[in-house]
Amino acid sequence: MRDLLREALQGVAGFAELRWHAKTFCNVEVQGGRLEASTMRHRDGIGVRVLHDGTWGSASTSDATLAGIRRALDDARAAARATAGLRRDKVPALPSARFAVGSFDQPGVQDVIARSIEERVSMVVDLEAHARKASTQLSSTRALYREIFEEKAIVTTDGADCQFRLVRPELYVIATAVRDGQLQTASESVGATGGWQCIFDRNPQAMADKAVKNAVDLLSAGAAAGGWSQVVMSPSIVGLLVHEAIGHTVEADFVQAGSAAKGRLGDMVASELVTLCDSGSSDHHDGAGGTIPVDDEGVLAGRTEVIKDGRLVGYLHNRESAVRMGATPTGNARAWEYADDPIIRMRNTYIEPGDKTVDELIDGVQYGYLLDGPKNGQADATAEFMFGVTTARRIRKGKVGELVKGVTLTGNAFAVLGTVDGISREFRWDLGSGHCGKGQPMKVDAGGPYLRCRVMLGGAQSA
Amino acid sequence: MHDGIEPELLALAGRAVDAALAAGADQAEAYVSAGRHLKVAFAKNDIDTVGSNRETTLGIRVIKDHRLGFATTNNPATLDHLAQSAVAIAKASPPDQHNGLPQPQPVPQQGPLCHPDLAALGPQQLATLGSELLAMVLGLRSARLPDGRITIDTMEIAVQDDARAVVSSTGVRQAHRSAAASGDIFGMGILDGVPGSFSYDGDAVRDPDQLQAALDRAFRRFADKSFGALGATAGVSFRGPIVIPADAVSDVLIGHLVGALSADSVRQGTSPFAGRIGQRIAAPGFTLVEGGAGLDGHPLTPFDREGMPRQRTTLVEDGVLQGFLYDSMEARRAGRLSTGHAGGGAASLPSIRPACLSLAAGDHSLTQLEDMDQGIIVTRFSGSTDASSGDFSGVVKGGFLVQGGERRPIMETTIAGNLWEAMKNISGRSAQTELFYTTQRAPALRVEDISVTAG
Repeated sequence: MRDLLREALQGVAGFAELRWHAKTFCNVEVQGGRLEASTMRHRDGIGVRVLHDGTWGSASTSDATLAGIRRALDDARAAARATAGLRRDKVPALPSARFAVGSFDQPGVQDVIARSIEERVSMVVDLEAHARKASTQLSSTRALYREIFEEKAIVTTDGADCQFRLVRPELYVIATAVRDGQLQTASESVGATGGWQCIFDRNPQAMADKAVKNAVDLLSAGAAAGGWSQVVMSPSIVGLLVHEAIGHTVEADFVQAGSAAKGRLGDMVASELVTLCDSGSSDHHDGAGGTIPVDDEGVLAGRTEVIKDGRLVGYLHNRESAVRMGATPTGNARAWEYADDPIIRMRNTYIEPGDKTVDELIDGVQYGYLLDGPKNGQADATAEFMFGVTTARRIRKGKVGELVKGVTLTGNAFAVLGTVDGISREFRWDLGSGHCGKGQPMKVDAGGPYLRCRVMLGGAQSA
Repeated sequence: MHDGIEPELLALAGRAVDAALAAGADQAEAYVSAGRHLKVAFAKNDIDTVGSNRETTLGIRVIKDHRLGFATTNNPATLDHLAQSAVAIAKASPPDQHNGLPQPQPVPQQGPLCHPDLAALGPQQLATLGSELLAMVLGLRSARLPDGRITIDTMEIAVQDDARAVVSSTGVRQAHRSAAASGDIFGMGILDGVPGSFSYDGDAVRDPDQLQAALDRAFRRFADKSFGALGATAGVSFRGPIVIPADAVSDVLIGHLVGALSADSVRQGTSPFAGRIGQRIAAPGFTLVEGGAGLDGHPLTPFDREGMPRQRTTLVEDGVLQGFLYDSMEARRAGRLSTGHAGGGAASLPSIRPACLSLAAGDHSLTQLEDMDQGIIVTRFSGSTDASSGDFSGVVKGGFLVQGGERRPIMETTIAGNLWEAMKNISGRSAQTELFYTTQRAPALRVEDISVTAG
């Protein structure tokens, strides 16, 4: 495919970028002993972007022939020409970057795509059956296996020329418990980039047992008291924190639009214990679910320090934002599928591990909560964040106690990170299942160590 | 897209069904969609990129020995391989007696919903319209905060022209074409360099003559919300009433409720409304209807993902649960006919979804709803809701505290409670409803006894 893309760009004037992107999705879902879905979806095509008179034009086509690609190039150029007169702030010449040249296949591809449909189906059937038998108080159990196999070739007129393949398997177990008409749901999931061992390292049956136990325990759980509280966050919650509270705020397009991180490079925005990074690699631990070797502009995806020892030191860039803000492209341009334009997205976002044990962190809490089990989250331009937590256990005088339910965490990202006073040595990626939304979905991961800080809990107020 | 594409898609779907039967399927269904999409994207207060896409997607669902398989591709030339893949998936799946495809049902005639002038809109016209709307939004000012400004993170003006066809070995054979233009805007207000909470809004139309007015209305609403979020200060903690504006009702309540009223959720044991038809689940006056083939004056494609006729379905009437939404699989399990609510497209199996929803108006003015000793106006809710339990908790964004006759913007304020209990505590609905994207109509709501926590 690289040869075809190169041939299509021969004689093209100005900047052009061709991205062949093939995605095959596999989905197996079993609920209550019944196979709800077993599907295979394939979508592939060429995404085209050109710059004409400082204006972007794009087009996409599923016709991956030389004629089809050249038609798409013509469409993109025509689109740019038609609108160049309306663009006030022309796109400057794109900066050079660490372009990827060659092949960058990721591990685990052959392990996953060689597995039979029967193997995938029986794995999910067995897992759901295990969950269903784990308690007599269940109204529903569901197990899902999802898999994305991606192939890309990216060639630009100014130096990128690469291809790669990767695979991302995910596993979910969801349990709903019932008592006296009340329902409570809990889930466990894992998502990785790599072979099946990445997800089986988490022991799917143990995941199922934990989901069932949490769902049943939540039936008896009271509500958390709303208000400011000291908390110890598990790696999955730390992942949500770094993704929602900081990550979106430092995406350079959002910075340029006026996010709370704008104009704050060099400021102390967190406790000096905090070093926060976004990386295309699976740092500290294998299998991170947002791993990419190359971004969708053909730029090698390295490690970017965003916060170092509490100080804001960088943003996440594509080539255009980098040249506008006097920075280096960081390899954060990503597109969900071939028909999507690349925009700035996170990859694997984390806080560097520290030097404490988890017990030491808990021991230092007089009254607070131990938080685990991420739910959805959302960021804001103000750096105010929100995310949900499935399980919160009260901590009293350093001892973990009873479970409470339905907690939402919120606060100002920089203020919360400023209260971090303990970080564990243990590190885990724990947000690789599901996806991030920003106009397009995207596979990312996040995580880190356990961490102690203060946040506002949205709980119940008494009358 | 050309006129008369529907017969071509029917022919393609028919070939796919034949291929699946030849590959060994007992029953087969093929769904084809062909679309042309044109969009002009704006970012950071300027035009960003203009793009187009044409694509045909084919999905084949097969039943083999009561086993289900599904495969889809955007390369219909590979339909033989696709059919074989679907059958192979079915062979690897456990059987279920209820697996099967529906028999055809009469579908009301509906001509193409494709205004010729709309389908012909090109990039320059969309870019010009978008630029005018952008200039309008950036030029707006707030009477409360004259120094406040709006900044756009992203804005998009788009035209989608789609045709779809569904053919099955049981005799289903339907095709239809429709086109719409839409606009969406996302951004925030900024005051003295400090951003407020982000806001978003948008709309869609089928008549190009209505496009500018519809987007002008939606984008001004966006600006109102963005300005409203500026100068926010800390709220107060209490239990009391909240008012949910019409454009927030879907996110806060209706979206979760409809999910719990889908027959698959009921069967799977995740819906709290199983076995409760005929029981009160909401306050008197709460009437929610799924509009079938379209809300008044806004017709939709008359058939669902399975080619079944879309049927108007009353879900809740005067607070009493009336029924659930069904596709053919869940209907077969329940011993009834589908209500025509199989959603999705060529890239997925059918799943139950509403096509259009209408929540009945009440008899209060907005002023009456907002007449509170102490209450919150929930402009936008950013939180999590567990649809099984109904527990919800989240942050009020761009919202207001009403207290002692004064109204001020608040920040870092969360609301929490149980949604299904809250439905019984709806104390008022506005007399006026608003229509969103031609498929959702809702009034504003007032709900009593909600927990409010301020930072």
